[in-house]
Amino acid sequence: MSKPFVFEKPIGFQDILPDLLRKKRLIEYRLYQCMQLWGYEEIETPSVEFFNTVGDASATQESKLFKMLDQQGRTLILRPEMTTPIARVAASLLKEHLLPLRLMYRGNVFRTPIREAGKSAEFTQMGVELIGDASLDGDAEVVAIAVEMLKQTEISIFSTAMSHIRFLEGYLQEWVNDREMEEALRSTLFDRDYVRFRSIIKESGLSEKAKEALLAILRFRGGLAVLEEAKLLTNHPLAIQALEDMIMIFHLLANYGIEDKVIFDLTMIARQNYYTGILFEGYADGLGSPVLSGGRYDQLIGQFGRSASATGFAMKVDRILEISPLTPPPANKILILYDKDTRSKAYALAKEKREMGYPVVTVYDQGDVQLDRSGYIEIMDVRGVIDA
Amino acid sequence: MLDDMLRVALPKGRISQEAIQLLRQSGYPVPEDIQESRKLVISVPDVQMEFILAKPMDVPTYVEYGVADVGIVGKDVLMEVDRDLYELLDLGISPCRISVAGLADQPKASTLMPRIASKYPNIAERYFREKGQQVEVIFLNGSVELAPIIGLAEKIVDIVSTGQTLRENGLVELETIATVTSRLVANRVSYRMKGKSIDTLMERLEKTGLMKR
Repeated sequence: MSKPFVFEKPIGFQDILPDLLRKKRLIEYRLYQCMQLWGYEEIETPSVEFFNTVGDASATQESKLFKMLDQQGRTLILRPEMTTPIARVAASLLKEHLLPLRLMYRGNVFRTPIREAGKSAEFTQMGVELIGDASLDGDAEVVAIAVEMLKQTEISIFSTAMSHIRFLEGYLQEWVNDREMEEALRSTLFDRDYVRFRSIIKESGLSEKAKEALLAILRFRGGLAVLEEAKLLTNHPLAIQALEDMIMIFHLLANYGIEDKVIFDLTMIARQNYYTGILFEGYADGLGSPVLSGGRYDQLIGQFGRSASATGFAMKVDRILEISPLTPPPANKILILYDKDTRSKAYALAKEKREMGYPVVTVYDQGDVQLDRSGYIEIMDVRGVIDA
Repeated sequence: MLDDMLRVALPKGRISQEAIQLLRQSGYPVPEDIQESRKLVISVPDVQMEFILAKPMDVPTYVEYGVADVGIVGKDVLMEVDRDLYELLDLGISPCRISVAGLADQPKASTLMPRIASKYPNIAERYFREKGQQVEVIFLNGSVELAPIIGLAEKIVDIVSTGQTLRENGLVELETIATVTSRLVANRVSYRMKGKSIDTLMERLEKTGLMKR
């Protein structure tokens, strides 16, 4: 093991220099404002949690968690996401609070970069959790907030895709009715291996009708029509309810005027036993992976001792930073040059300008200072000017 | 990019010719001389497509990052690299096998950990691990048949199609790990955002494939 160079950082961790950070803060400010306008209140949770509780309940795979030991030998993790820590708080410190709770957050989360060295191990997430609202209005609200937040970033082209965990559950049960095969099919959808999905179906002993119905799943991507089409192919109550819920949410989103930002993709699937209703992802032009993901997860808070429904999403601020066209306003800095006789004059002038809201830099210069004079909107030289 | 252009990553080498033929037969006018040209990005505006030529092992990378919306790549590459993308279709072209091979007159392994040389270290490692055999996997970038001949490794894990190369080097195919064909893969964002063009591409490729059988 070689010693790191003094300038090296651990793999996956990065510094953010002032210029880029200004842009990031602008984006964060806009996203924050948006969530606040919807009535959400900010909460902070620690960067470190227990592996046995938060780590176990989290949707993040164990292999992606940063682990440490505390003084007593208990395993700790760096939080991989904010939803599970917030669930912990909702069930403990906030347990007397009446529901629904509207919480929002901005925090850095940590995941070990398994594959490539460059992938970020630490990244910033912002998002909302709507706790204690089991209604479709609640689902529509969080999707609407996500869309609104994306609008605030001024990314010109973006969209979201939605699915419902109970649809596949019911549909597969109806057409397959074999736990093992259902699991195998779910697994291929999770791995996004549609070739294997097709071959499992084709090689199965199911009826032609069942095979057609199952292969049709791959076509269920698109607008509202896709949900109507799916409805014709199923009688399973779970699947029908899921489809009707999604249809309703679509109409609710139309009320928000954002129905053009949602497409349905019923092949979208997540880790079993985490999401309990809709799940959705957000995409932005220019990025090869989603900028946000979320959904309904009614079983999570119960794991911490308070049964409560919940829905929400997390947005990856660093990805948005890559492609948002927003530019922060210029800094409007003023430079004041002074010498040994004009100190108080300089300081007074600086105070005056600062009170007006200008950032001011004061520099003692007897005439020999090499100075970078760029980046200032005004340079005020008070040297050699002594008030009578 | 979410413009209307569909960017397709094509592999150089073994499956290149068949992939281009399949696309042409499916109604996509990929220029015949695409391989002779030094250009790596070829635009065909008539069908709103752009073709990128890349090393087979790199096709999944371009697709995962979304700079290519879809790609054609062998299942061997997909088994070797672990990329976050959608495997849409078995194109049925360039069928071959990935197999364990060794010298025809290989003496019984006397070492504790037999050495396996391969261009596919992950596939090799996984295969032997799942069989409960302990091996040392040596990564080689090419001409893997050389390894048993000069004594670097007892066996190799490599692509076999006709078996000609193995025979010419005095090697025999010992075990078949998997059959390999070429697949159409897609970026997860493009799969949703450019769903229609990708669906059309899939339909046409499938139809051509069926007609060929």
